[in-house]
Amino acid sequence: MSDNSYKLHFDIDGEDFSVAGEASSNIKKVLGKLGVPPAVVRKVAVATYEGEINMVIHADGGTIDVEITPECVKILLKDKGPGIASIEQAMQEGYSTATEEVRNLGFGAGMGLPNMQKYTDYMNVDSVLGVGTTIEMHVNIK
Amino acid sequence: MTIKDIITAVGGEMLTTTPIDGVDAKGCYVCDLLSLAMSKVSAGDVWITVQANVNIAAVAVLTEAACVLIAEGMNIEDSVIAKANNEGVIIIRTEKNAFECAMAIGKSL
Repeated sequence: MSDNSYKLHFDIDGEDFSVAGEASSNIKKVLGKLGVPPAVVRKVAVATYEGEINMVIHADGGTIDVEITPECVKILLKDKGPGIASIEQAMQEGYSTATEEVRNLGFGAGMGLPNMQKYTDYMNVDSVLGVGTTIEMHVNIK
Repeated sequence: MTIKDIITAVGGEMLTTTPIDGVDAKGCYVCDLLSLAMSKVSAGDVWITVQANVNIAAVAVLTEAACVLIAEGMNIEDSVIAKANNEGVIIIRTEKNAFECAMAIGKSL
């Protein structure tokens, strides 16, 4: 932990699409105010939004913790959802277990985890069936 | 391209009360999958979609789209408009389809 870090915590409501994206939007605003370069803000925004949506779709909510240091934005997503049966499969573009209802809203294209990996410099997915999923992501500022 | 130019080009109607002065559209992107839109809409783009659910506001905010252009005259709930107004998102709606919208905007950009 760095001494000059800035921390944010968000509780994400499950199955409430009307507020999905608010945490990501808040994170984006804070990063902008802190003077983080727009390209980095964009990467963090995409990665956190996908994580937030995944929590709403699959996991009945969860938490997002963000630590911002001069060098890096670290994002920790935690949920107590059903867990991911095959992380390898879930990381493939186009693979999704989302319901038809969710797909009709424009989600469930199987882009969530792939986008999160694409837009971050480091990502680790740790998931246990029936226990939950923890995802750590880093986006480098320098 | 100003928001007024876009409305004229597509024969659209303004649905939000978000201020439009100074907004300058520089590009255009067409997609209804939110994950794709999230990663592909560039800041200042007109985002054309038939998705009209509340999540379009979040995607527009996060991507810094110039505006959301709802094609095919899709029905849009008041709660979505309210959220867009709260978040500073501009939403325009037209009866034209996505191709016609993109053609009209492409000619004017």
